[in-house]
Amino acid sequence: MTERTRHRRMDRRRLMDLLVGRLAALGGTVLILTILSVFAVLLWVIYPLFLSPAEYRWGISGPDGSEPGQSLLPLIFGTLKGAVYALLFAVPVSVLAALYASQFLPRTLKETLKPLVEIMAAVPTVVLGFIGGVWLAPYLASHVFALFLAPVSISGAVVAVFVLRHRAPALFRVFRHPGREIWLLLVAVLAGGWLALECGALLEAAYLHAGYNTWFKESLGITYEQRNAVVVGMVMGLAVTPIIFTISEEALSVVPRSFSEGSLSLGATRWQTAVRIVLPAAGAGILAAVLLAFSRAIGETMIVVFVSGNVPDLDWSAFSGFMALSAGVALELPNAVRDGSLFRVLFLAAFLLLVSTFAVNTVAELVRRRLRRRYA
Amino acid sequence: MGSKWSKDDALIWLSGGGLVLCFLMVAGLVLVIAVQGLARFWPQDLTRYVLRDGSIILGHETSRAGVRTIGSAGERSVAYRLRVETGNRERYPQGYVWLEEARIAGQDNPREAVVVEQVRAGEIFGFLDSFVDDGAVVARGYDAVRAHYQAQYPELERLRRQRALSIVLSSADGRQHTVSLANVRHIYAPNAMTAWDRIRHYAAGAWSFLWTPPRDENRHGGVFPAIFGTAAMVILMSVVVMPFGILAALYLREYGSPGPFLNAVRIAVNSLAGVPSIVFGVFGLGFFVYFLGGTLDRLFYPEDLPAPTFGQGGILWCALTLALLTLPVVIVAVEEGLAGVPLKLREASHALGATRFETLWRVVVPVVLPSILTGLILSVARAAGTVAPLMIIGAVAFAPELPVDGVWPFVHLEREFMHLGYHIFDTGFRPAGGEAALPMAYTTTLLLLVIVVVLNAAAIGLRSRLRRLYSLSAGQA
Repeated sequence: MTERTRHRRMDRRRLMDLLVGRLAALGGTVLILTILSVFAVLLWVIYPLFLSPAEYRWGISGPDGSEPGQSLLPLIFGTLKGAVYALLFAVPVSVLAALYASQFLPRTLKETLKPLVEIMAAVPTVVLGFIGGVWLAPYLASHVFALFLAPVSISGAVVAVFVLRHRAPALFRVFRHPGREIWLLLVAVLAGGWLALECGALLEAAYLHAGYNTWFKESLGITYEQRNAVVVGMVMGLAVTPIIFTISEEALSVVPRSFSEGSLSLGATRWQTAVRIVLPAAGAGILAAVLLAFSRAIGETMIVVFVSGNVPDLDWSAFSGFMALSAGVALELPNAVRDGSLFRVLFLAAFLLLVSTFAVNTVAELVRRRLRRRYA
Repeated sequence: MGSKWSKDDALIWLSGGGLVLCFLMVAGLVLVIAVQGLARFWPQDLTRYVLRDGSIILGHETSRAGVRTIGSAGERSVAYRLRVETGNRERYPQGYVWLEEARIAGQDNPREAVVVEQVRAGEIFGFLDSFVDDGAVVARGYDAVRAHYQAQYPELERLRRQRALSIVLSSADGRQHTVSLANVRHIYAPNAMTAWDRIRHYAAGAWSFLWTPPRDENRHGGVFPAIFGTAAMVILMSVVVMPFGILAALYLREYGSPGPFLNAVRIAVNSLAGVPSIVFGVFGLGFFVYFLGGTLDRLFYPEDLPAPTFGQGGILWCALTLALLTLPVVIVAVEEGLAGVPLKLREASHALGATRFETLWRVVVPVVLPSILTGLILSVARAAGTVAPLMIIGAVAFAPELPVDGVWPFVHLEREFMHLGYHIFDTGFRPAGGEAALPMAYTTTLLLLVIVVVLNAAAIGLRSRLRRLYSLSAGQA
């Protein structure tokens, strides 16, 4: 090989290196341009709204009354209502679950749990929404008493099985192995659910004259809508549970072992240690998890489309429906005239979703980073 | 002998109950979908209900519900009623009736009762009366008509084009009903079926669900166009998302030098991952459909205006929008793979005089290939299950023309298409076919769920194998 050909080959190799580097940078640039253009395109469509009177800006009525206006206030309210009910259901359950998984579950079981949670997170929301709206909502509408009883009866059954195990350990020798108690828990929760259904049926026989609708009106003075905030809370709660669980579990697991060892050596019980030492230490991570779940719930579309009933009311009642911003956009935009007032107002709704999720995500990320730095 | 226990241990158990409850609820919902979705093709026995007023109804029970009433003396009672699927939508427009149990005088399962599946207008339940060939009755009675039908079945396609063949059915209460054979897809007598017949019927039903288009306003038929449309859209999306995702991941891990630009790219990835899917749909409508599509129409299809070609929702715009949505998924997966490549490998390659690109191409990429595959699988699963943006740009309830066919230019990127997830929304939310379309929606839901779960399980398996591999090679150091 002569000196010249070697140089030429070297140049070609350098050129290739440079080229791929530039291409990679192009990939990065495309990313930045994408997120900027999402903001830009939405702003471009909605800016005429800001040039007109305040009423029009909030989409309360069109400029000349020619097109039916869409007020965003009930939709903003509906989005918040849905997210709040989802968190009311998801936060206690999934934070407790994360605490249990990180502090009391054997390592091997935890490893088998992780892929299950991941698959749970991957279930498409249209599937959850469909089953929630078409099956769960009518089912709950005819088992309202059971729904009321379920929290009490399930926790009662869990405690009862626990007490029984300690009173008569011989009966439960099979489950003494650490980690096998999870099967016992499974049985307990199922039994609690069954108990709620049975007692619900008994209560129905005793107190129900003519269906739940009349009972709600006579006893509580409210109307019961089949597709309501409680069902949304349950279904959307299930959708955000994997997020809260995964992130809080991670936050609870990075708390240094020395913390809990110190607490245990001073005579605290395992539960006291978990709740008073580990939980506060991971507080920021759990807060971040809740914030991320909140932002997911705000932007979630298919579940609210199916389960919320899509009635733009301003009513905090747990048993009435609502309409969320995302559902409004998804259902109305296909019918909106291009560049009409409804069209622009729906773009404004999308922009509100974008900005609010962006803000909440950013706060969550900052909180998470602080926690990571503290225990790094 | 009772061992010591404290209130604290009970609380630990309660927290475990939270964990178990989550899984049980998801498992319960999946079970409902599986049971309802799988039951659809199983032939159900037909029951003849004789009512106290003398009328007779043929059908099968789908559910039983109690109605509470309060008597004049204040006594409470529960009356049960059956929801009976009746077919024959000409007589029962809803396709079902409610029968109070108190009104039923007797019931039996006649062996001769048949189900006639029509091409249009759903199913008819009844009894075979006679076979009519060009106006002449050639067979009469269950056995003769059945034998005649089965004997001619192989030639039916040809025969019914030449002659006017029809079957006369008598309904349970004796009314006559003539069905042209051109409108008959299948005739079977569920009560006379053996277990083996039922299994064959089930398999044939499941097969035609996968390979035929929907009929009768989504009440019957299959979802083939939706499967095809989803696959075509997902392939198109992968072609776009994979190069950009891999390049961006390479920039983040390999080429980017620390600085404000790298930080900006990192922030962009995180923000993109947090954008709600519906917002991508709105962006896609504003940018791809109206801006890009409108511009393309003005430049290349001015003769068709104002009718839009690319300026309306279509498979290309959906693919591009979902590419943006799944970009972070690919980037995260590839980045994880790149991070797992042992430093020693790179150092050895650099020490032998390789450039950065040569190291990347010959050393890093072969190791990262499975991670790239993981990213692809995860993004495909995500795209198959995302519906909200498609409601705004391009997926439709019924598109007879597939986006790929034998007409030049073969691939029609501007066409609207059917999507499995959108199909669930369409049949489940405001079904044009009424409640009769719901069983089909359950089956579609089950299909989508199986696809997404299998894809995700594959990705998880692949990734855990990789992690073991990395930890093994790191352990040998």
